Amino acid sequence: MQKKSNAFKRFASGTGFKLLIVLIILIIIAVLISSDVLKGGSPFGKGFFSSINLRSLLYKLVLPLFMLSGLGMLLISGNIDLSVAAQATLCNAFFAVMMRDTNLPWWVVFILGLVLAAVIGLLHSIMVLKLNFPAFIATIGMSSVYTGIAGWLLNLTNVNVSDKAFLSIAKTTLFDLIPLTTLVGVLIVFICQFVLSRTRFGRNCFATGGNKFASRLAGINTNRITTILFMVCSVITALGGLFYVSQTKKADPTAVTSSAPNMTALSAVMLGGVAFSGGTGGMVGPLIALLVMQVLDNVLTVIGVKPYWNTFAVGALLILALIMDYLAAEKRRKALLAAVQ
Amino acid sequence: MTKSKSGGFFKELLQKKVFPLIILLIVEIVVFSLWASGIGSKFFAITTIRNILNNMVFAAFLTIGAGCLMLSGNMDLSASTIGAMAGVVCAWSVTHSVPWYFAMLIGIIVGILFGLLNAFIITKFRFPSFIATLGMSSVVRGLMYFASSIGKEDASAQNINFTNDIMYDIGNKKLFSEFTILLVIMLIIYIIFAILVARTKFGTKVKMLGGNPIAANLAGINSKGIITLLYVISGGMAGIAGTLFACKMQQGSLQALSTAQFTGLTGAILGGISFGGGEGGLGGAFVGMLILNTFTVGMSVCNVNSNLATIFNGLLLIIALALDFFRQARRNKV
Amino acid sequence: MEKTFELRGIGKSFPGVRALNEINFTAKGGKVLALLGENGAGKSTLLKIMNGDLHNDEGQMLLDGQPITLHSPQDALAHGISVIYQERQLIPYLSVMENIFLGDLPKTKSGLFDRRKLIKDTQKIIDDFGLPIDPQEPVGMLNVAYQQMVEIMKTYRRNPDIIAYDESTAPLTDSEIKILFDLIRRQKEEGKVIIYVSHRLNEIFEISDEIVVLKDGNYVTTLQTAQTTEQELIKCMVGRDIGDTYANLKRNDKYGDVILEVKDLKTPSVHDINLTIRKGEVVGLAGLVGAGRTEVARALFGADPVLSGEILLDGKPVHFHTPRDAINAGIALCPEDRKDQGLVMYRTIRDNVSMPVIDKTVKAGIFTDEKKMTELGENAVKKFDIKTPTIYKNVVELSGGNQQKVILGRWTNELMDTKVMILDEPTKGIDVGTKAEIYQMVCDFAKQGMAVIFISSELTEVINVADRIVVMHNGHITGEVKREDATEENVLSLAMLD
Repeated sequence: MQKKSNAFKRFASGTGFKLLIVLIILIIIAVLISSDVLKGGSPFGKGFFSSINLRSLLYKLVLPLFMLSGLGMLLISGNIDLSVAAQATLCNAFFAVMMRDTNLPWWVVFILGLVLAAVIGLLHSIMVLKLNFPAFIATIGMSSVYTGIAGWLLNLTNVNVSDKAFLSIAKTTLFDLIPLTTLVGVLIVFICQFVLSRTRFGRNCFATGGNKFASRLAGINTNRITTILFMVCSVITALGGLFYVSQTKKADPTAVTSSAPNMTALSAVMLGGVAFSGGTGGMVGPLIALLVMQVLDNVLTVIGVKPYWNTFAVGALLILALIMDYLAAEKRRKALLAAVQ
Repeated sequence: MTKSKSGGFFKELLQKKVFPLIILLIVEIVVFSLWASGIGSKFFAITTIRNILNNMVFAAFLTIGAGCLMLSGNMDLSASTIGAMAGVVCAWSVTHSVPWYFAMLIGIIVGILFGLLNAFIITKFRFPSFIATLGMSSVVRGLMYFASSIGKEDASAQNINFTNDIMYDIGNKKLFSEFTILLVIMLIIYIIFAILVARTKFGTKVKMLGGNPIAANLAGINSKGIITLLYVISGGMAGIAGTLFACKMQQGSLQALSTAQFTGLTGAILGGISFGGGEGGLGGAFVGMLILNTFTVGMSVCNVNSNLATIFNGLLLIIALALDFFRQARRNKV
Repeated sequence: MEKTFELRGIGKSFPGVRALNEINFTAKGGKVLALLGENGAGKSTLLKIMNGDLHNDEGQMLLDGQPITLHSPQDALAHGISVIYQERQLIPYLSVMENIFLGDLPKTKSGLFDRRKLIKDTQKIIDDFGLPIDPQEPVGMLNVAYQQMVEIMKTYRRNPDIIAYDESTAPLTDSEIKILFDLIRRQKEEGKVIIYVSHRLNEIFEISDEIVVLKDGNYVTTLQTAQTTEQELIKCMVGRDIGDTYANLKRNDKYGDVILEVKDLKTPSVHDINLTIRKGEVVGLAGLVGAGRTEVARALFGADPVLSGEILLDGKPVHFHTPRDAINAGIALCPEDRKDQGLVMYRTIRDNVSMPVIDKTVKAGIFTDEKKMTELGENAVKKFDIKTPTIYKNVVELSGGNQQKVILGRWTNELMDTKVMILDEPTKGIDVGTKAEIYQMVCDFAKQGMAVIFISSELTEVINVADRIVVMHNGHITGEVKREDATEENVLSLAMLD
């Protein structure tokens, strides 16, 4: 009955591994098609690896990237928050309006915005824990509430932000290529992964998502974990949102919700191996999944394919990934049956 | 075990999830009527009722599909996109000299076909319906944009406009001077499905499946068949909604039905259908939609700032959840 | 000073039910106290109170003579009390070691999760038990018996002073039971207080020193194990002398034609399965957990695919692709896990009874015939003596025995024509009195001309109820014994050897 746990570890990281392969293949195809490398030129001149394209790709990553961390951890612990896009819109609106109407230094308003997000997260955890609202439905409802408040604050138009210091955040780049904001986002993903795999809090998140009752019996304070995760998710989301404001120089009442970065992030989280029911997964898989989704989007645009094929491709990719996952699970099940003989 | 007499009947009604919702609806109507007369508008009138019901038509079709699916523990997030696709295909057919009745039929068939596709990937690969239909939504959207661009020189995706008097009439003509043909069609189909769910063997099977899919399968309920049927219904209803919408707007619109999805889903949840609990029915979902739409119309009659309206829209769902919470709490104390 | 755990005047009421009334007894350190009683006697309620999961309305608990109040399971743990529930509380995706040390993961000096220490500490525990389990394996990948052992290890590592085992042996095979009993004996030597809840009288006689009997929420008596008999125990529990459970069984002795023939059946988990069963026969299918008996049942029922071989029903070859096919042909299966696989918990008795015949309880083709469904439900309740005030109760509120009866009622309602009834562990977790009822029902099925396949891991049960016993091991049949010739030893040896 002795089973090599390394084998399973390999399986578990298999999703991330598979996605990495897909990513590499995608990038190779992109470079081949879009740059001059086939004609003997440099792969970095134009096309996919051109600095213009890479920079734009990396900037586009910001919103879904930040949502990825929060949503990923929430989902692992057995919860969900579908209102993150609306939350970002609200915190952005709050920031822009405060900047316009008060004389507070930008970093004060920034922190206040994050505090607002934390309060929202706390509110959600109260709804889910004390009032027993199903998180799925309650956050869909609150989504409208936040959108409405944001719209009211902004009077349904864009509000510009002009504070030079604040705007310089998004302009800061590494090697003139990698935006600081994206780097922070990736860093947060890795911090979350670290917390999940190397801290007891993180392991308890898995426990809570896997079997809440058993966790409570064992003395784990699942309510505290849930509350913390809701708040962390909201704050990280707001952080990403504010960085987005720095990028676009304005708070827009509909931009964030219309591009549905929360759905992109959620899809990436699930593609990356986190089960909808929680209790399993990691953050690296979702990160690679998000990269795959964004790179695919970018590749198709660069090739010059009509934008609607993007949408098609993302959906088809999701389904393909699920099929592959199913086939892998079938293989695993058959192997297990054989081992039990 | 005989059903108790009238005193017991009211007690049973009180227990049903629908009861507090009906109260909420009545409260809404009263509040809006008072509010409106306070600012010189009229709320409690035939015209308002007409607006509410007529606006509900397309969402109602989607609610049929969403409600049945939710009872079985599944969902279809691609319904509105399938509907829009059906409208686009219908419009395209009309502009390519297909007779109007065929064009509408094609629209509905498109809906059914995508429903079958959803059913296939969900039953064969056992995907969670949330992800599978989310993916399909993107796939269908992409295909729809592509379909709308066929034949255009610049291959760009656009709404397809057409003119067809018969279809216009279907989509816009009123019966009895207030209620549209669409509404009548919707009500008939809705009632048929409400009965199907509540009183036929199909409905029973759906609810048992929602309660415990494994046990249902081992007790001889053909889960694959039922789920396929459910997704075909969802797709078919979406197809009908999309086709009728195209008739009304004389256009195959790429954005069609986008809000109807949310209203449909929210109405069903508001109406007390719990995911896979096997509890609730389409009747409750209808009341849920009424509450939502009464709200929207009420907000505009009372000239409420659209932002406030959005906020209250979201709060409605929260209130419904709170009502459910208090009812459970009271039940547990007893 | 020896440890004592006393219950004084413990009472607990729920709306409409007096679950516990004036419970008084003392469990002493270094002794095993068995808690015996029918389902509904109050054992689970008592254990939950002990564990701080429920609060007693009256009375108090005294630990070493000092009264204690427990507000939560954490409180209980803090007092050194640990209860191992019947339902495993494991987290399937987490490793064995993380489950065993749940809530108490070791940390390094820098506050991080100390993986290496966890592996070492867990391996030590696993070695104490002598089982081939990998600490890093996700617990969900283990078989049910090992999962139960991990559950037991969870308690073991906390080293509590007072331990309660609630039906812990249900999923275990004899080799694990031996390991568990060795553990319990060691715990006795260490002076711990041990409370052992089980329906298996042979285990109670083997391991316990004292027996406390509960009945209908009341304390009946305390008996010394060495000085009592099975008869006396049952009499105390049930309040009536049901004599020897098996001696009073009215079996069927008239067999009909061969109704089911299985030839060289092969599935992904079993092979070379050959069976011939007549109408009116009760064929027992014995073996250890994992022998493949459930897999055979599922293959016969169309729930699992068949790779090769033939199944002949009434002489005609049949191919079942889904359970529906099998049901239409007259085969019924009561699944091993009645809660997760047999019943829709939050629906009524009435709904659950009519599940396979939904297509037949119709008026005008599609409308549900409410009256007929009610009739089916009421007949099932009457026929099987299901204890419930109404058929509109959700089955989740019934006791295990009554739930099983609902499933039996489902397959024998008058719209069904069941020819072959397969029962997979039908008496798991059910009290002695109801077990006896079910044994008689099994024999009654045979009398009505059904062929019955009775799968059970409880040797005593399978030897005494079946007419002949087919034994499986490792996916194939190792032998067959007639009831007259069967003893627990020869059946067990067939179950353990190739």
